[in-house]
Amino acid sequence: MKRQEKWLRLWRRFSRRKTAVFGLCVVGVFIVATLLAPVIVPYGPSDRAGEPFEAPSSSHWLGTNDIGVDVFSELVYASRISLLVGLVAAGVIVLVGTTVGLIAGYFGGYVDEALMRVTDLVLILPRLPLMIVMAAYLGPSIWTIVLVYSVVGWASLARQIRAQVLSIRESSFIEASRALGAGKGQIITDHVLPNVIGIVLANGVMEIMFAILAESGLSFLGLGDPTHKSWGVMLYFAQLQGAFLRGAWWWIFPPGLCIAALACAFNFVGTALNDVLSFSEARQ
Amino acid sequence: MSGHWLIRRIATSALVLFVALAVNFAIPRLMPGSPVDLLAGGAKLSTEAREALVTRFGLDASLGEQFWRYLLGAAQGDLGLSFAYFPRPVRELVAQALPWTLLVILSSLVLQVLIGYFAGVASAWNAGSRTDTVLSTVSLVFFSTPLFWVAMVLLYVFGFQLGWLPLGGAYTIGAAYTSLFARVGDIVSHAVLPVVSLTLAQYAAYQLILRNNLIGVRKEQYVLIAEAKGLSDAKVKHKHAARNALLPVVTFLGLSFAMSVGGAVFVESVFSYPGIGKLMYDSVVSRDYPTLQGCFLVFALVVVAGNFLVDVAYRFLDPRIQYAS
Repeated sequence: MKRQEKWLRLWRRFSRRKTAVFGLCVVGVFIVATLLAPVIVPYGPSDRAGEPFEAPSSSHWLGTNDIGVDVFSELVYASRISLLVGLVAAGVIVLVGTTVGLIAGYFGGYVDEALMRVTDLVLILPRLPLMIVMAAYLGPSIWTIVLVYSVVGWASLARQIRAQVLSIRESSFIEASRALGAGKGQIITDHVLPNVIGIVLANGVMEIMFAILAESGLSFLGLGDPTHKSWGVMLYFAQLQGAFLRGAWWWIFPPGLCIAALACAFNFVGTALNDVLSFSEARQ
Repeated sequence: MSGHWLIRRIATSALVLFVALAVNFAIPRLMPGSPVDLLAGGAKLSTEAREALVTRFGLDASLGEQFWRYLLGAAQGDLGLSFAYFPRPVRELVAQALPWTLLVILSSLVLQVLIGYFAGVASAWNAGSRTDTVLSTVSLVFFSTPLFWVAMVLLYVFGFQLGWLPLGGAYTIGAAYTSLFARVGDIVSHAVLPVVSLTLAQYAAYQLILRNNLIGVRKEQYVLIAEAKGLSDAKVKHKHAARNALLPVVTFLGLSFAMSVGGAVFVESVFSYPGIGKLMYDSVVSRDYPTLQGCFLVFALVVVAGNFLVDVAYRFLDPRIQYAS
């Protein structure tokens, strides 16, 4: 009952922010579009439904691309890939980052020292070039993107979780349960984890934004999966097939706007969550 | 004291470079399939060609020996031969491209700090006001928009539609310049769009850091005193308050080199700008693995060097830091 009340209070504080609610709505719209793609869209994502480079019209709302595929249909189906890769990659990062942060922060000593040195190195190496090198060897696929982004993405979350764990570790309720004979594993899952879940949640939402942006970037560089078109892959082809020279703005603008809108939405939600949760923690 | 610090700082930089080398060495060898096939870039090889590759890259030696040879080679600047421009050495390609990348990155960093400074001061001084909201929202929108797309839109509007700026490259190929001035003008006009795109995508962090820090500083006694003395608003802002809120900005400058080299890959690809980023993009397309890995190493070097220089400058700017260990 008490826990429920706490969440309700957090929700009330969260929903008072206009940007947060707006962000949540945008995310909702994209999720609905993803699920209902076949219903919304007039053509298949790779049907040659018109002539190449047709300008927007009533039969092709966003025109057609270089091979006559309806851009609007392609765009809606691409949201599936972009959203899926973003969510999966963010999930992996939250899992790895939280685990490393918890272990380093709670066990301390040599374990902490070793894990944090590795974290520092991952943070200082240039991320994008490293991802490009790995992805170039692995070959284009959506799993390549998830993998290479996860390899470089966990480190900053691990650092934040560790810092939080360090401050919790010294608190009296941990000491009390240690005195009562609780084991290390039990203390981590029962006492430490519930107290970092706020940070994990807020950062997890931000990680979705970063993952969506990273996916679009890697795909734009030609490392995406040409058989599973995301927004980034669409832009890769637009650049490759000279959409500029043909003046096909309808092929260039919409995918970028979608990436920006979705990334922005997750950013709004993540920022609001962070404020709301850290505020409530500060008051306790 | 400070000498000892410098030695340690050099050692960490060297360690990071060593790790970059080790990662570079390990990646092709960790991947599924034999390194020979990867080196061949998917081409079917005859038995002789295979053996030639194995000998050329020393793949018949033990891993330890291979790594040692690799390190020795890298220390002498030997990054192998490019596949795409065979038999030109990667070192040569990279050396040609590096100045252009540095030009873009460094001019963009200057702009980022300047824009971040003025936007940050303006929003902190009017915290909670309409100006603050607008400035913060704008920077947040740019922060969430993919850099390569911003570059594409700018290229479309100012290059293709309005025709104000060149469509790509770093200079007009085959141009006969009448004066040094004309040459500089040509290079600048080619650099404008890449630099502006990179700046728009990355200035947000400076604004945010300065804003948050300045809001704290504003309530300090010495700022209140400066105000009470009747100094002009601009003088209080820039001479007394902002100057003391700048240190975190300098710290971030060191970290931002890693972001900037990533950004360089995108803007150089969109504008066909002949820097390391474009070279890296091209070598992905042509499966030119030696060049690809050479580019990664140079980027790592730029990041480490940038971090190091900013760190050293920081110590000279703020003598207090020497006392804190």
